[in-house]
Amino acid sequence: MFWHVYIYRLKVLIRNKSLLFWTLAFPIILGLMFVAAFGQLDQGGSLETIPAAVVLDDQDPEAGDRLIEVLTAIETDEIALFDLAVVAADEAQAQLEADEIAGYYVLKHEQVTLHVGQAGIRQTMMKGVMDQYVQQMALYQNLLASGDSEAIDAMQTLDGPVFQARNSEAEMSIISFYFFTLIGMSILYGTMWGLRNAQDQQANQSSKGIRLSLLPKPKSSLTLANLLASFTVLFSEMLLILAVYHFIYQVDFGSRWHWLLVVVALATLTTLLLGLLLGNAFPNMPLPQKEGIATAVTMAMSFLAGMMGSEQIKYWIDTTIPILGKINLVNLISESLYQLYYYQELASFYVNLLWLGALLLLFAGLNWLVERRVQYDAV
Amino acid sequence: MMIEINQLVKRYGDLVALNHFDLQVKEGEILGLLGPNGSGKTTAIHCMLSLLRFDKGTIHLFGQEMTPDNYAIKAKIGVVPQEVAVFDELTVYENINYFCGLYVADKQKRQTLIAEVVALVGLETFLTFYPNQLSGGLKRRLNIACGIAHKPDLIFLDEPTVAVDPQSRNKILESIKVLNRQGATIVYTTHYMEEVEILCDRIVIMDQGQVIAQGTKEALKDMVRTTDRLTIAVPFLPEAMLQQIKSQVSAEDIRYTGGELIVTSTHLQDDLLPILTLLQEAALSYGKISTKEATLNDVFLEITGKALRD
Repeated sequence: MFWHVYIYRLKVLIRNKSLLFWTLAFPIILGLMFVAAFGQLDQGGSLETIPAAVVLDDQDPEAGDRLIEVLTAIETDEIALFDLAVVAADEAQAQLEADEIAGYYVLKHEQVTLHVGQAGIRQTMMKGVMDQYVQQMALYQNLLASGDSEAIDAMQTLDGPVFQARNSEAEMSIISFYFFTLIGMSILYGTMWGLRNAQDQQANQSSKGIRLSLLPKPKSSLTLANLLASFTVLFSEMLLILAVYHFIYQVDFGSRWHWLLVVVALATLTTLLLGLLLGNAFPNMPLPQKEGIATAVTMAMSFLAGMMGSEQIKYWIDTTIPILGKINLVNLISESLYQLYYYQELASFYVNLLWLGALLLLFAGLNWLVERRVQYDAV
Repeated sequence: MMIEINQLVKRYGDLVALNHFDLQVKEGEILGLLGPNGSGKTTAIHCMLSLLRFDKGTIHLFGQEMTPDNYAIKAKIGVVPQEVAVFDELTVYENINYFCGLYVADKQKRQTLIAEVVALVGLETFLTFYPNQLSGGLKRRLNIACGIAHKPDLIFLDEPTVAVDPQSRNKILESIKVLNRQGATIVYTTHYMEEVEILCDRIVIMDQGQVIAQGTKEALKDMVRTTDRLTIAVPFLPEAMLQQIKSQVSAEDIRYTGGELIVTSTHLQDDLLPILTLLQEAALSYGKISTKEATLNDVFLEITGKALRD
């Protein structure tokens, strides 16, 4: 029965022209508009050196030296990433306000903070470097505390490569950053497939659901077959979208395609489960209304992830309430792709992957609770 | 017993949808479940199918307790819901094959079953059509085909003929009779009295979540004091003659209006001859004579105080 349901569900889904438009054609059209709007950003070639400053407000001079050493060592295509000056706090702020620097780091009590006047790609890169630095220092401190001399030696020899600005195999492309968010948004449109599954298989949502709730087999087999079919459709759509972006729009996604596909597959499944959960949570709401809510949530997540010129909002969330960025699926997807493309060291990428996995398990668990031996209060 | 329900109670907050509802359905029976909107018919069916939680009572189908995971029972049930429950993205054939395939894994056996059900509901020429290319009546036939293709032993039909053309209605009713002759037990809910009169062996009348009457249609008519109506075309009838008829015939009501003498009575067979004799003696000419028997609708009105489609 599983494959019978799977094949017919595939037929039902791929014949739904309206959903195909929103989940396949629309992201491709939007991508074309992105190329038209931001295409010229890449014409300048490699990213320019970023003017930045460091304010050392720490008792420990070694900590300051270590930070400066790392920052000055970072290169992109053999060009230093930062044009760095060590200045006092007042001067750094004045330079920032005069737009002479993109931002400045402050080292105080061995804590590094970043100060920027506006948000953009340069500021995002500065934050990426800071995150890696903080992460590596914490690891280093832990190793020191553990007394594992072999590991400490190994880490010290990694000093250079660990803090490289970006994955050296990839050509730097600014437009890619915008497409990472667009891919996140495209995947989130997949909530509509999940909503449709809930609508068709729940007795309190449709008459088809009444029929399907009387199956002579556990309902979970139907749910899983429908989920697998919608995953097949959405994942195939995403492969097609990625192919169009890469081969036709010439968007560079770096060289870590295997990881990129893992992210897309995981995010696709998570999104479908989110859609299913929304459908199950609001059984009495008409489907178009639920689709409207799903679209609004997707747009809001995209906005908070820095799409639509909202990089400042994203930056503010990243620095003040980072948890919000972790539960924002669009942000989680775009950030993961960004890290794959840009970071040499993938530790933070793995953390994002774990977040995606945790959300997947959460949505799957909640759906299981709702659908387990289901009987309804009202049909 | 195919279905046995005892003291079933289902509440929606303060509203009691089923109030100690009892029902027994024998194997091979066509049971008509009648009641106005909101009387609890659909709620009762959904409880029987284990779709709805209920507050009190027991439900046994095929002699076993019905629970959401009693798949052996579910395999023997077919349901035709009130709304058309098919996929717009699948053709007529694909829809029937899909729903039948949930019960019958063997492809060859399925082909035979599909051919049989398609012939039964008369959809042979529409197999490659999509549902939105079908008329309302044909969609209803498809809805039935999807529910019964796997040849269930117990079939629930919830108002299957709502808003269909007479041709489709006749086809549907005919199909139900065939299914019953083939051995299926059928629970049939409807608003249409005439369908129940044609189809059902036994009728249960529900109101406010309770069974208020049940039996064969004849038994139900006997339960209440229903009246038949006699109409005699009389072109001219003096007032004195009308009064004379009224005084000599003990009918419930006698009226003369629009050239027709209308007599309402529970014993028309006793009233007709005296009236005709009086008219002949007075040399009054009369024409067409017609009678109309009491219907189940009259029974329903008498029992519930409201018309079925209220």
